Amino acid sequence: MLRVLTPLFALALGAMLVPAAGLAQGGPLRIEIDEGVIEPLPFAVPDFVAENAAAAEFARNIARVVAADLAGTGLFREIPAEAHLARVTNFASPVQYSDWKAINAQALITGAVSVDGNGRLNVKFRLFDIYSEAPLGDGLQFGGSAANWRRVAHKVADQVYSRITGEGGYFDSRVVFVAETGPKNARQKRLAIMDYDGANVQYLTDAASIVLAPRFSPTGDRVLYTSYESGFPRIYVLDLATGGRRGLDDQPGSMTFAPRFAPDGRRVVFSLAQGGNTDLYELDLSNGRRTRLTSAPSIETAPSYSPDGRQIVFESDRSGVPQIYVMAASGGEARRISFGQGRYGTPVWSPRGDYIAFTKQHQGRFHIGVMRTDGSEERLLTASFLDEGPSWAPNGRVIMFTRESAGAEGAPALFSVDITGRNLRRVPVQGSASDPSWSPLLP
Amino acid sequence: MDRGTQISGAVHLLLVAWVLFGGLFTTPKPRPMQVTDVTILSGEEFAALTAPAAAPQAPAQQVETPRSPVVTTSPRPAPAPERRPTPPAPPPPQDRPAPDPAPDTSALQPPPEAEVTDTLPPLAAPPPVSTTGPEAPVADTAPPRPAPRVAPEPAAPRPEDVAVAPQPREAVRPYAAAPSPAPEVEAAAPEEAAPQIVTEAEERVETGQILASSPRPRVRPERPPEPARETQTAATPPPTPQPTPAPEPQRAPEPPQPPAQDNLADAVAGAVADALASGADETPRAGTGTAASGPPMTAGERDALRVAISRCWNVGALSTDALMTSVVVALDMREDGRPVIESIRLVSSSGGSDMAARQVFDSARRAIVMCGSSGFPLPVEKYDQWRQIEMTFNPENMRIR
Repeated sequence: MLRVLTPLFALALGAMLVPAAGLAQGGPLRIEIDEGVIEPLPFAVPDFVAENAAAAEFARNIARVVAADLAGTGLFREIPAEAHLARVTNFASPVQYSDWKAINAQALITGAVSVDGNGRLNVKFRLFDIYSEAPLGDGLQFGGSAANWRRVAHKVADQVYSRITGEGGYFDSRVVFVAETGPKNARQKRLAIMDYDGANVQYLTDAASIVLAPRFSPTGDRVLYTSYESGFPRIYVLDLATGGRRGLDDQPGSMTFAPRFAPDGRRVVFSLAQGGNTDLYELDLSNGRRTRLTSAPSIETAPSYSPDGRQIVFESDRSGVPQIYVMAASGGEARRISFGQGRYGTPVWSPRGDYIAFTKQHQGRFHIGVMRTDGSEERLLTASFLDEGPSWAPNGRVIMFTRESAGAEGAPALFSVDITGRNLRRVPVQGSASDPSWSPLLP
Repeated sequence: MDRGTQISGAVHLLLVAWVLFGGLFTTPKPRPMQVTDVTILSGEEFAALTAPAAAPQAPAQQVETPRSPVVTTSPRPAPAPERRPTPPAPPPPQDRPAPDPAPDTSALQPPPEAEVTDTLPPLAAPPPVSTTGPEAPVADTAPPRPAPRVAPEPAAPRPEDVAVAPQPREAVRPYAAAPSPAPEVEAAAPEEAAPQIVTEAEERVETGQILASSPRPRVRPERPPEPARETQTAATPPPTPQPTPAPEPQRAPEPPQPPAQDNLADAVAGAVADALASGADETPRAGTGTAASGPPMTAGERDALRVAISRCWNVGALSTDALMTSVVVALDMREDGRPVIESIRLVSSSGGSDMAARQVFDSARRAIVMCGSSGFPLPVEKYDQWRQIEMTFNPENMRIR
């Protein structure tokens, strides 16, 4: 009997010891931080170190472009050089973190530039987390011709942006747009291309005919656009390397417009108006075969593929007013995703696949907005006399669009805005500009 | 052994078994209690608390109450057809000025590929520095939104000649005639902040900017007139596939039960060993041992720490993926309220990729280091309570602010 009772009493004793031991442990203090602040992150980028005399100007200019790229996102704030306590005169010298902490810099970019006898530029840089007192990633160096020094600077800025935010950059990219001159009732329009920040503008077409809605190919080497060269809207594809162009799907008595490449670059979806009806069609660029995707008495236009190429979002007035619909890329029944008041148009699928940007007209105002791909979480980012034609940055974080001011002297300009609605700013383009299309990141 | 002893033994055995397994010693689950923090204050402390303080001015014009965007989640009946804007006809070619000469696209070449070469050699370690330099002015190139800073507590724009400080304070000028003149203190105010992002679309509708239709040529052509037809209803959504119930997993056969005597003895030995081991494994801390001393931290003291870190936690540069990632950060504290920087470490993360967790951890670490450099507001008499801290940083609320 005693052999039975002893284990039972020992078990009871153990049961009493366990909570007692647990009580004695204490443990760390636990708190939850679920609120913070949203403000630009302060960074410093001293002039890069010129490793030879020929690199002096490049060293200064590259640092300025890097700073402008980062500050232009609205996520970063540059601490001006006048406030710097430390001077970076040698790229290999250790960083005096205390000097940068004292001016509240949280990130530091140092770099060095050299130009060899063939005019070839070599740029190396490092990024430091001041409060961790450690480099943020490894140092990198880029090479290229001196004429392309702005591209090298954009690549440095892309690396910095990516390492701090954790998402891809968009600085080394280009934008094709419609450059406009002349009064409102006699506008001349030309296709033009520029760096994302408005630099290096080059014209692609003359002003002999109206051109509309250029669209980059997924590889950035071709541009689709609509031209009134024949008196009716018709789609053309322009090869940027050769300058050659050709018309697509020339059908007598029809109008083609609103083209956009598929993600594979081998197909084009567009609107075709014939016999008073407008529907969506897909064109295989390799064999010229055309496939009808919609068949409705309403107007279907402004199609845009999802990044995986499986779906198409487009605009249709089949419900009475233009709304946004999604259907399979092969056609079939469409699902309406916009249900707010007003008119929705020009939907564009984000390259990340998470949002659809659109233009909305409601109560006499135009908005650029974003919504989830199922139509939820609609959020209007802008409001003005006329905003339209959104185009996504390669990283899906920024939207560029056309804003036209009111009045007889009103003119279109390019603006960009973060998908949170912050950092609304004008893209510095000489003259009037409209219909931007953002390229993918350059190789 | 006589029969009475056997009966007595059996009854006692049943009694002991009932006591152990019947739940006599099992305390019922305590009902939630409302606890109110009580703190004993001295007369001086009470006077200091009730002294008038310079509160931040409520924003009058600068920060407006944001309006929520109109979001409809359920299909509505199709609205009445609106009049489609009529775009202006393109001007006839003869009215146009002479076209510009055709651009020379011969020089247009795709940008050459930039080269990325080897990784640079590692950096030499910086020399230790013991002192910090004076604070220098910082230029503000913040974007032109209603308030460049979004913070839990809104703050009005500060005057130009007022310094930035977490808490507002009034300027104090020494009065020469006073028996003991107070030291001169400059006025300070917190950085201007709004409680959330206000997009342009959420701002006040300006007057005189109403537009009936776009004056620009439309991408879509004018719809030809057609006889009135019935408004087509929205496409019916495809039927939602009903999730098929997963088959119930088959229960594994019960393992054969070992003899009761061995099972009981093993359980006793294990329980005792676990209880003793858990006490022995506790790593002794320097100072006062493992047991927490002093009264527990009050909710107010915890909130003070939480608010101090929140003010420095900048999530503005986090990616959308990182804004959905929560991390747990552990650190050791010094008795003066400053964190031991080398001890800040990532314990765990949830909700996002490793890279996103790293971004959130870096931002959390910066917040702890920056705001902890002068010490967090923690009661020194309860040091053992906050000697080690685990902070969960969850930016979910800041995702779309």
